[in-house]
Amino acid sequence: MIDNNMEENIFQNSTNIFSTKTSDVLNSCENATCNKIKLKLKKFNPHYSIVSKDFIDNLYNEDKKVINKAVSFFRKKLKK
Amino acid sequence: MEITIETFNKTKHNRDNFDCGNEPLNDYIKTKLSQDIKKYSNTGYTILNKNKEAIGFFTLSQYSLKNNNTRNNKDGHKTISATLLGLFAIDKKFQGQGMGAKAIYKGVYFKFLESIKIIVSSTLVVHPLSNNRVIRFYENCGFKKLDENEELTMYITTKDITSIVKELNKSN
Repeated sequence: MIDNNMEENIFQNSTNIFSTKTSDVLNSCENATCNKIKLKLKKFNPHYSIVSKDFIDNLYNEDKKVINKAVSFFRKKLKK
Repeated sequence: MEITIETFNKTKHNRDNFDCGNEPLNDYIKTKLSQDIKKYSNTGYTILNKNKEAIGFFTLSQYSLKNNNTRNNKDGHKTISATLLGLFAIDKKFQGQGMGAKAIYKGVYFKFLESIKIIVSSTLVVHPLSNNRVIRFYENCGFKKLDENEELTMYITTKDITSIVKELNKSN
């Protein structure tokens, strides 16, 4: 009988050997089943994160919209 | 209400009556946090009010993100350095008073910026509870979802944190 811990170990091991090709396919796939698989992989292995193109674009550039929104949020809260 | 941040100290920071409203988190803070710190799994911090009561806790640890978009990445790195905000909890008694935002700005962002002077990190990552209120809170603090269809991971870039802190420092 497979308990929760064993299932987690099996899943973690399987994500470790998850091939780049397969992750590429999953990454480009946006249907509901693929998203469920992504979430399941994520749940069992937090290090498995599918990084989107947006993420890469945002990584090295400031996002003025986000910064301004956060600054006004913090200003409001810090006054309390 | 003013807050201060101290490195977690299990004898100094009383957690007996701490209740953030989430039992697994309460249990982790009371029983496992100090063990994880001892094992170098993460660094823990305590959020204190002016009476030096522990009103919240957070942890930071090294993390990495797998990059499957090497063609789109200028550097072509297959992994992206990251820091994980593994735990962030405020006592129920102090929730809804702007404490969370203060703790993110004065605690998490400052400790994160301090830590990257020693070991650099491109982004701060959090796995929020699947709760719209929590997700909205992190969005207000500048976090974005890692993937539009993905609700379990959010991030804010080091560049954005630096700009937010710089802007807020100007006005203080």
